[in-house]
Amino acid sequence: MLLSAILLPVILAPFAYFFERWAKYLSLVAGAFVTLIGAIMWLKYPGHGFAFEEFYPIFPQWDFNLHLGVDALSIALITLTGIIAILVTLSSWNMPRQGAYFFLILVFLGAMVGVFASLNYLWFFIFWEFTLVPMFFHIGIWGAEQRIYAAVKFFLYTHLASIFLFLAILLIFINTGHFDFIAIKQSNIPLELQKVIWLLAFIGYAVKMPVVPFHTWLPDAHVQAPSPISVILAGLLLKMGAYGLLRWNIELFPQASKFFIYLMLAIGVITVFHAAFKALYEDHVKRMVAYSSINHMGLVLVALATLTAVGISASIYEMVAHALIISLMFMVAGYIHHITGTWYISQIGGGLMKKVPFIGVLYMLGALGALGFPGTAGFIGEVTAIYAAVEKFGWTMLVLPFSAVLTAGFFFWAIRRMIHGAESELVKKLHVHEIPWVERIPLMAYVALFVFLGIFPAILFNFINNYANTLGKVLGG
Amino acid sequence: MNCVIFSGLLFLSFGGLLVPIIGNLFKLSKEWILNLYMLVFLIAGLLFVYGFGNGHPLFPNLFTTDTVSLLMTLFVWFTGAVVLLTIYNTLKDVENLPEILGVFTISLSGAIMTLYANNFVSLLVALELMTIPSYYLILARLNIITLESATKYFFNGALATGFYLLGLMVIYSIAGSFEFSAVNKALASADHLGLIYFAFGFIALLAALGFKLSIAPFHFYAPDVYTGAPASVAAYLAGIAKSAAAIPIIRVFFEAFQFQKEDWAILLAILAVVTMTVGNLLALAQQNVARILAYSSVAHAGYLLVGFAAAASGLAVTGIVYQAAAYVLMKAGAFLIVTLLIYYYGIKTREQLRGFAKVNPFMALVFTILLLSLAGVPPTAGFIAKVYLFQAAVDAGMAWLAFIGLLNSAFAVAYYLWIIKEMYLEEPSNISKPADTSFVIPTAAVGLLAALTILFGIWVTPIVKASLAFTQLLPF
Repeated sequence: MLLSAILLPVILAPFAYFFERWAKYLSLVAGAFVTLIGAIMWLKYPGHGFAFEEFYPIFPQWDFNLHLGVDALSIALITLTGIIAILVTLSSWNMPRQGAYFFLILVFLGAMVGVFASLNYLWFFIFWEFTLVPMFFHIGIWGAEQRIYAAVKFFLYTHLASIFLFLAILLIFINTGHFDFIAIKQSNIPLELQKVIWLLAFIGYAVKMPVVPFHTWLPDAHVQAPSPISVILAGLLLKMGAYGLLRWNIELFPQASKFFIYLMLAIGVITVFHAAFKALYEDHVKRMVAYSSINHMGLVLVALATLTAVGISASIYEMVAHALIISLMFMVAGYIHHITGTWYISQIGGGLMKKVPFIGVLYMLGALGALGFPGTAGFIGEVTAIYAAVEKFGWTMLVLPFSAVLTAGFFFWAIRRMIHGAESELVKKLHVHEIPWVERIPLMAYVALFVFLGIFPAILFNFINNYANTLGKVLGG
Repeated sequence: MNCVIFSGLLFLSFGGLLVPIIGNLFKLSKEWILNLYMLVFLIAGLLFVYGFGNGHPLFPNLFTTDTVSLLMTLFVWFTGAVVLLTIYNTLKDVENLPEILGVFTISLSGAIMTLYANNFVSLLVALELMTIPSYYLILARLNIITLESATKYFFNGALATGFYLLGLMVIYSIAGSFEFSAVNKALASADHLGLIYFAFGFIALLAALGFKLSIAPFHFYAPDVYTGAPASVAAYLAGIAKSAAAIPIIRVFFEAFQFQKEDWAILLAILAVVTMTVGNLLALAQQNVARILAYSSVAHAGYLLVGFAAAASGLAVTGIVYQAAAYVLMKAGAFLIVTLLIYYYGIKTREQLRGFAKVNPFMALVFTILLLSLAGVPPTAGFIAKVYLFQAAVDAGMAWLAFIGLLNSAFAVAYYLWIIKEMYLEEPSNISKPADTSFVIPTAAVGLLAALTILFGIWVTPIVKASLAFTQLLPF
C-alpha cells in the first residue's frame, strides 16, 4: 500500500508530461490517492509501533532494502502531504507549461511519501536528496525575476548540507552494519560516536528546517518560487527537516539527544527571535511570510528540544499548523503581488481591502493564525509548545510569547499599511482580475482546516499521543 | 579468459580488420558498413553473454576470468556499441570512416582484454592494443587541433609505457615472474633491499597507470586531449578506456601488491585529495562543455583513488568496481551528448546551451540524467558508487578522506548544475534546429545509457554481487 503511494505519482508523471491537458487532473488523482492512503492508515493504525510495514529486498547483504513502514508521526505527515498536494494542484490550475510542471509535482510527491515512509536510512537519503531536483526546476523555471539565482542557491546550499547527513549515515553503517531503522535502534553505538553522528545529521536537518544560522537559502527560495511551490516548500519540504530530526536523530539516539538539548534550545530560541525581528524589518510581502515561517520552525525546534511527551506532541502539532497557516499566507502574498504588480508593502500603500476584500480578509485570517489567535491551530500549537518549554526549562521560557507579540506586530503593521487605510494611487488604478473559483477553493480550505484543527485539536493530539508518550518515556528515563 | 570470451574478442578485432576490406571489395555503402559492424558487435555481445560460466579457460597464466571482468565486459561492449553508432553519425563526412570504425573496434577489443589481464606482460599488450589505435582515432579529422591532441596523447602514452616497463623491469628483477600472484608471493618474502627496489617499481607503475587514469600530477594532458579529439572519440578515451584501465589496476594493487597495500594508503589518499580537488576546481572555471567534462573526469579519477586508499576495507573493491561501471555509462554518455551537441547544433560552450531544453527536450533530459549521475544525486549509479567509495574510506578509518571527498562532490554539483541551469532555466538563445535529423537514433542510444544509470542506481545487486565474488578470489 505504501509502495503504491510512492509509485503511483511517479508512474503518472510521464503521462502528465505527454498529455498536457490532463496533467492537472492526474496530479489531483495522485494527491487524492495519497490522502486516501493516509486516511485509511489513520483509521486502521493499531495505536503503537510501526504498522503497514512492507519489505522489498534489493540487496540484503548490504542492507539496501526498501523497507517501508509508518507510525503515527509518518501517517500524520503523509496525510498532510496528500492534502497539500491536492490544494497545490488546485492553486496551480492556470500555471503555464502544465505538462512539465505537474510532471515535476508528481515526481516530487512520490519522493515525499518515500521520505516519510522509508525505514531504511539510505533509502530515506535517496528520497530526501531527490526532492531537490524537481524543486530546483520548479523554482528555476516558474519563479520570479531572480529565480535562477534562487534555484541554484537552493540546490547547492541544501546539497552541501546533505553531505553531513550522508557522512552520518555512512558512520552508522560502518559501526552497525545496518541502514535499517529498527536494526540501528537495537545496536549499541558508543555514546561519543553517537554524538558525532547526531551532530553531523543535525546539520543536514537544520538546513532543511531551516534554523539560524543555516536559514539564508529560504527567503530567496521562497520569494522567487511561484506561490504554489512556496506552499510545497513551507508545507512539506521544511517538514522533512523536522521529521528527520525527530525520527532519525532524537528517536534513534536518545542519549546523544539529551546531550545536545541546550544546543537545540539555544538555536531554537535564537531562530524564533532572529526571524521575528527580521520580519519586522521587512518591506517585502513574501519575504515577511518567509521569516514568519522560519520563526515557526524555530518554535518547532524549541518544542523538540524539551524531549518530553508534551514537547514532541506540540512540535508535531505545530508542524501541521504551520503547514496550513503559512501556506495560506504564501498564497495570499503571491496574489497580492499578482494583483498589484509589486512586492513591497510601502509601494502598495493601503486600501487593498476596498479593492479586493477577499484577499484582504484572507490575509488577516492568516495573520491571526500565524500569531496564534485563539480558535486557530496556531494558538494551540504555540500554547502547547510554550507550555512544554516552560515546564522543562522553567520560567525563562516565558520570553517565547513575546515572539507572538512580534508576529502580531509585523503582520498587523503590514495589514495597516497594506490592507486597510485609504486607497493609494497604485491601488486606485488597479484593474482587479477576479481570482478564478478553482483557485479560491484551496485558500478557503486552508482557513477551514486550521480553524477546524484549532477547535478540535484532539483529533491530531489523540492520534499522536501514544507515539509522543512512548518516545517521551524513552527520553525521560 | 575463457575460450568463448576470447572468440568474442577475436570476432571484434578481426571484424575491425576485415569489415573495411570487405567494404572496399564489394563497394558497400556507409550504411551497410555500419550494419556489418553492428552485426560484429551483436555476435561478439552474444558470445560475451554466453561466456558467463561457459567455456574452457585459456592462457591461465596470462588471463583470468572472474565475475567483475565478465560484468565490465558487458558494460564496455554495450557502451562501445553506442559510441560506434555516434562516431558513425558524427564523422559521416570523413572519407575513411570504415577504417576509423575498424580501428575503434580493435581498440575496444584491447579495452576488453585489459579487464582479464592477470600478468604484467599481458596487461601491457592489452593496454597498448587499446591505446595505439586511439592515436589514429583522435586524428580522424586531421587539423591542427586534433594533431596537437594526438601528439600530446602519443607522447604521454609513450612516457607512460616507458614508466610501465621501468617498473616492470625492477619488479621482475626481484620477483622473477610477471604473474600477479607470483609477484605477490615473491615480494612477501623479499629482503630489505628487495623492498626498496619494489617501492621504486611500484612508484613507476603508479605513474604509468596514473597517466591512464589521469591522476594528478599526470592529469595535464587529459583536458587538452579530450577537448581536442573528436568528442565521440573523447567519449571512448575518457569514458571507456579509463574505466577499463581501472579494473587491471585493482588486480595489480590487490593481487600483485596485496601484501603491503595498506602501507601506501596515505600516499594514495593524498593523491586522491589532490586529484579530485584539482579536477573540480578547474572544472568550475571552464566555459567549454567538453572541457568541463574532461576536468570532471580528472575529479572522478580522484574518487576512484579514494577506493584504492581505503584498500584496508573490504568494501573498497566494490566501490572501485561500482565507480568504474557507473563511470563507463555516465561519462561516455555525457561525452556522446556533447558530440551530438557539437555536430548537430554547433554548441560548444555553456552559454550556447542556453534554452536548449526547448529545442530538443529529449536530448536535454538525457544529458541532465547523466550529469546528475556524475554529480552523484540519487537515484543514479553515480550515487551508489559514491556511497560505496566513501563508505570504504570511513571503514578504513579515513573519515577525513570521505569528508573531503563528499565536500568535493558537493562543490562539483555546481558546474553540473550550471549546465542544467543553462539548458532549462535560461531563455532560449538562437539555437537553430538542424536540417539533418539523424541525431534521433544516437540520442535514443545514449538515452539507454542514461536509463541504465538510473537502473543501476536502484538495482545494485548485479554489480555488487559480481564484485563481492571477485573480492573473495583476492588473497585477503
